[in-house]
Amino acid sequence: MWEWLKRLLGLSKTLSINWLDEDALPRPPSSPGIMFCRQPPAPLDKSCLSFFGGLPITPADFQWPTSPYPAVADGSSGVSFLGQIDMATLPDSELRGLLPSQGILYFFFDWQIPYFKRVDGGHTVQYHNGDAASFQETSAPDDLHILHYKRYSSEQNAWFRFHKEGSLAPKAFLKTRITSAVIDTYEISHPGYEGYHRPENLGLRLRDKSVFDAFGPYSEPPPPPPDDGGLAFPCPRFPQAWLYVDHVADEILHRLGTVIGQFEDDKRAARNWIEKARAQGVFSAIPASERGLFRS
Amino acid sequence: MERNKELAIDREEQSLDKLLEQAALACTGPLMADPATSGLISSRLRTLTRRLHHAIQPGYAFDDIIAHQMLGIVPNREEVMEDLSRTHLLLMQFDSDPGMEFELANGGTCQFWITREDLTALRFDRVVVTLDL
Repeated sequence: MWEWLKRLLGLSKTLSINWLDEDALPRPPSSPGIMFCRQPPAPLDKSCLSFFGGLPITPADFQWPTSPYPAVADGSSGVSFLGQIDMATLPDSELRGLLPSQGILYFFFDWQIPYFKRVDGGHTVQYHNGDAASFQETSAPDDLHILHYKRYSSEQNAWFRFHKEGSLAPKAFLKTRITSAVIDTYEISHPGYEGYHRPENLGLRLRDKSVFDAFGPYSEPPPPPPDDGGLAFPCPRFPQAWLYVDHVADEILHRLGTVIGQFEDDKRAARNWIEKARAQGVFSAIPASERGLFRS
Repeated sequence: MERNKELAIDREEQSLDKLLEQAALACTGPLMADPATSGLISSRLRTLTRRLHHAIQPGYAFDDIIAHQMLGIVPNREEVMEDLSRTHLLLMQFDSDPGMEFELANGGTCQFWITREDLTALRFDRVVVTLDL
């Protein structure tokens, strides 16, 4: 049934385009834009000045912006760093005339006001232009807000309980490099993904086609060769870090938590492993002897 | 009876493997983010999580675009965006992006708007922000 439904939906993607005869539809007004694509996370050196997440690389006189709005949750006032863009690395196009040719733009998001439609202040943009060679990675302020992400919203999550001094998670977005390309964007008379193939959404489909042309359609990578550290469980290298131990033990506790008076030994063992992971530091590698003990 | 016992054991092992899979995937992003711990992630796991970090998210009916965009036109689903798009330029739009753990109300977007004059004068303190949720 499911396979049949998937085939039908896949078929509809092709058929609907043919039904509409998109070439016959009037083209909506268009304007070029720059689209950014994140790359899989990898350690970045300081010379890379365009990226999303992590901590900003800034001049010495940089001041981390703070929220002007009263804290609603934990008293924190630091705003989250979304990313920075080195203007000199943007692709050449007619748009360059609108933007600064040099310098770096820094974007920040204020979680104190996440659900207002329009906001003045809070969410912040900063621009710095100087000798980038002297720029340094900035430390996060102590009162940085915890990210609003569904994985962090559970009190079961290890990040909340074991947040350590100096640790970024869960207060910074995942740091990844970015690439950019000029694309065509279009006005859309029905701005929404509802009824993606309806004529009013032609602008959206044309934009998507431009993105496909710029970055290439997504294709699944070939299956990687099996190794002992991946997801082919049981894998002998698992767990590689105390973080995994913490997460698995926490999940076991969570599942056994509803069964009162049973599995007490298992619960005690899980708590011991969490305490051990906490003592060792959840971000550190786990010795082979402890790994064997945990797996047993 | 023996057959049932075999099936029960099989289910238990599958459940444990599933638990380990979930743990590995949940830990991958945060560990990757820190150069000190990124070496703990295997190349296989990096490959398997590649989709999370691509601008084009494959779907059954159509592919979704994670639209981190500068300048150009964005879908104006909110009246306030419609108004601003007449007087301002789109300096930057950040889209909800599970790969970087940025999420606004199940797929919302955040736009930074600036007038042409303010952009020329580098007055980024006058940026106006809208959220399309």
